[in-house]
Amino acid sequence: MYKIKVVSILVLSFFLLSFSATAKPIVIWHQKEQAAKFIKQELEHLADRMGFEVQVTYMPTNDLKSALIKSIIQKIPPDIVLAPADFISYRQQLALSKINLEEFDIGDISKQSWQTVSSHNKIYGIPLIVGNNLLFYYNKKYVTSPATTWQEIQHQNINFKKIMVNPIGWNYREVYYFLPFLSAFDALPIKNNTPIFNNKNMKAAMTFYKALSTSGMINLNCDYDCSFKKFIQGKYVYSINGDWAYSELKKALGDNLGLTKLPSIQGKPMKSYMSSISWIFPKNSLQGHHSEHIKSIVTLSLSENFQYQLYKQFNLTPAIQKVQDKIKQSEKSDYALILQLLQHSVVIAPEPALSAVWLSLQKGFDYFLSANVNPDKVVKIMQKSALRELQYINIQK
Amino acid sequence: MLIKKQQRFKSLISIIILSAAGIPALIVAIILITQLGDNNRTQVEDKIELKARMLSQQIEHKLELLTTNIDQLAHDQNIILATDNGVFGNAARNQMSVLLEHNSIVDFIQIYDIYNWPAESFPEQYSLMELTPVLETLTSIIKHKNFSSQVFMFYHKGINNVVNEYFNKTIYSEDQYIVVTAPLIKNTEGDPNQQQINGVILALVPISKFLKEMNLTDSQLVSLELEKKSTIAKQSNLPKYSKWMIKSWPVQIGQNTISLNYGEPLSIVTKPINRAILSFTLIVTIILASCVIFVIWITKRLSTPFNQMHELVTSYTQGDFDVSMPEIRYMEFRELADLLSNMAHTIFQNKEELEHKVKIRTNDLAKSNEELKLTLDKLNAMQEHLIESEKMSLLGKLVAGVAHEISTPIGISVTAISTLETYTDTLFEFVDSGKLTRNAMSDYIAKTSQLIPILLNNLNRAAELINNFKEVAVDQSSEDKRRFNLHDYIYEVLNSLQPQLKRYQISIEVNCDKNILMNSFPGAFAQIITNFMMNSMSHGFTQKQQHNISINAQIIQDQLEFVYSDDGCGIPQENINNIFDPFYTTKRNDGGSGLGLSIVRSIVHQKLQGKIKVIDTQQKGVKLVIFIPLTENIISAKKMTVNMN
Repeated sequence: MYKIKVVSILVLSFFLLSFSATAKPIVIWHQKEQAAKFIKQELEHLADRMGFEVQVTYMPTNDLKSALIKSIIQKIPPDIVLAPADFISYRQQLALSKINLEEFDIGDISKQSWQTVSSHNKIYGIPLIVGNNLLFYYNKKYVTSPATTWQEIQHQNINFKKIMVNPIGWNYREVYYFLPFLSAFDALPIKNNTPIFNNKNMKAAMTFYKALSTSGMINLNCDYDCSFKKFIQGKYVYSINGDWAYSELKKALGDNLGLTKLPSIQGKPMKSYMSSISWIFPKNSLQGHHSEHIKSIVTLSLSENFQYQLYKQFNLTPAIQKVQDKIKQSEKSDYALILQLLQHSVVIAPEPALSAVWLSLQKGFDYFLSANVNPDKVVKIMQKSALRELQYINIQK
Repeated sequence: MLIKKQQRFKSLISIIILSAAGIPALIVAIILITQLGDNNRTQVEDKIELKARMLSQQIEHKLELLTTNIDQLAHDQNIILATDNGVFGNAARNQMSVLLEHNSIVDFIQIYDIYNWPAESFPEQYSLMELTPVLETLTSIIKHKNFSSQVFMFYHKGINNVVNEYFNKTIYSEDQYIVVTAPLIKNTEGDPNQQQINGVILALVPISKFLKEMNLTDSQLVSLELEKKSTIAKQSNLPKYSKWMIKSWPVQIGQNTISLNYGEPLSIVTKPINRAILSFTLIVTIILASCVIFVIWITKRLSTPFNQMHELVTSYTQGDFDVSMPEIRYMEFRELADLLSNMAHTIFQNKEELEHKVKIRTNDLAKSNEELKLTLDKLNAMQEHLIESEKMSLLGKLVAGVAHEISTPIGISVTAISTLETYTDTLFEFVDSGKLTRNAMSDYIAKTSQLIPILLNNLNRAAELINNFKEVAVDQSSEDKRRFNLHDYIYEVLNSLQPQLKRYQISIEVNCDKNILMNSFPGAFAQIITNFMMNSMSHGFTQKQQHNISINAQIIQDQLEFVYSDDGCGIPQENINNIFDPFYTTKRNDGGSGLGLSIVRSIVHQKLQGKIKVIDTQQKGVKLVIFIPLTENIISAKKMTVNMN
């Protein structure tokens, strides 16, 4: 009798362990802080319904990237990650699954949105939220008709000085805010997966950008605080900020908040760069044993309801076209304008060289603004740095 | 006899008081000042050493914290992975910014991969800067492959140039840093025991930050030495002090040693010491000055009675006996003054009496003086008379001698002529008788021929004697100066003395240069020689014994030396100093006048302007030396060169 009991216990334990082994949770990492609770809730509900577990973890974007790479090195990658599409430039290191759309039951997503996750006709992610582009906000209290050129802002500044307000603010030293200026000069430093810093357009863009601070148009040390908080306080007339800031700004300024396209430079339009927050699947997880659960998670997140909630609760632009249209029809004119401006934004393909270029651009940009150096020297150093970064990326393929 | 230098009494008092009070005070002051200086100096040195220790502890604390943080960071996965992948750059920068936040001495941090490429930097503006001067050191760290993860500290020149050039502005004006670095050690995947160096992390610590945090003033010097190499940092812009008091304190940070040298200008450090010494010296000086003033005052008070006494006695000395008594404060001096006054009055009275007596005695003396004068004149006249008499006597002796001498050849001549007369008479008889024969004539001629030379010789001799005498006598009596050959003249005088000399057995040696031609008083020489010789004969010689006389005359330098010596009985010691005194003789009973040598001395001194001295021969004869200056006395002379050769 005793023996039977022992054996039974042993067998039961074995099965329980086996069961727990197969019932390993789906590890989900994301960087959407504002929607963290929502995402966690929804996915856990889904998991409950479907009989599996999820482990949802939020991380800031920069930490998410490094954690992801580490996890690959340590061979404990998450199953699914919700990250900016530029993560796809590390697809080699992350061993991202290629997407076969037929395996997913999801609504229409615009071509522009798919471009954010595609490279060489291969899709490496599924956009959940699109946007992330920069918008030109203004305070209607000071201007009714916003400037359309930088010259105009300069001209208006004469009056702004009289009423002791600053003309414009943005996170001046953040390189992401420099990208629209590059677009005006056609100076994006990547082409055919190759860094191209050392050109006159890049130098011209850098020179123009630096002159904005040296001329007094903007303070060299103007950060996010001055483009957001101080703008809300009415200390700035104009502000360049992301679409992510719209809801807060709207809440603060109400009807005084104005929104328009970015001013042009010497007749050339400034274009914001758009990106997407997409699902990516490291270590080929789509082909792993959690594949079905993963697909169900993705499908849920791209459902109209989920998408609409993302907009409704967090003012995030959903990827699904149908939901966008719905919003356009039912919501206020500002958001329609945001969607319109989004369509005019530029997509940067997530090429491997993009990460190298991005890193070098960040370093060179900061150096250029800090030092008393001319752009010639800086672009050469950035080019050298980008090539070196690319070399490293290629080594790690 | 030495006369001791006289001192003032008040100087003595001053010296005594100053010595008793001043010198001990001075010695004590010097000792105390020296000790004060030494103590203060020791305190100052201790203070500076303490400051050096405090500052070095500051540095030690900061560097230890930094090295610990660097070490921790060197093990951070984000830092290590940042060298391989830019993805980790942001995380790495975050870590670096935390380190920077906690280590204010650091200016920037960089991570270098194994190819010496700056993978990441914080602050970000340093991201593209390649710190080329240190790359070689970084390479050696990587190659060293020391997995013990040691933190290194080193100094390298040239960093400021790189940074300034990178930013195209002066970020660092001085090339003074400590570079803190550590290797980034990565565990190989799958094998925790296998490690590899992935790169290096370095933090730049400008020494100016250390110095700034020390809040040093312009008069504080700090320099740091890393691994006892030459100073790598010094507080700049120091005013130019020439000397510093510097103390060192070493700081050990892991395997590295940093020495902190802290100094303050000697002039400032010693200022309080000098001030204290100065104050003390001033006080001592004031005390000493007060002492001196006191001494002056007290000596003045002490010497006042002495001065009063001095004035009183001076007045008395000057003959002022009516001077009023000064106000003397002290009883003892007052009594002394009274005694002096009494004495002065007594002296005054005695003086007056004395003057009166002196007057009387003076008159008496004047009278006596007159009488004595008369007597003296008489005596002088007598002396001259006696001298003349002596001269005459001498001359008389000379005459007597000569007469005696002449009588012989005259006598012989008379005898010869008488014989001739007889022979002639006989011849006349023969002629008258006509019996004159040839034989008789031949006989007459033969006999007269014999008589003629006798006559001639004796008459010549007589004539010579007379001539000699004439000359000598004339010279002796004559006072005229003339030229004469000394050598010849001496012989003439000797010849004139033959009659006297004949009575003795005397051998005379004359040594005189024949070329000495005198322009002087020959009579004086004649008298001198005559007196010397007469004295020798009458006092020194006996007729029974052979005696010798030596007369030497020579020119020595610019005078004639005339030396007369005999080998008689000499002059006794007790008489030798008196022989030139007038009327001094040992033969008074024998008719000696005692004027001979006195006359000689007066002739030598007055007529010949010379000197005479007697040589003590220990009674082995007499030796008299006469020195006569050449001047116009000698016309020409040839020095005696025999002895000289």
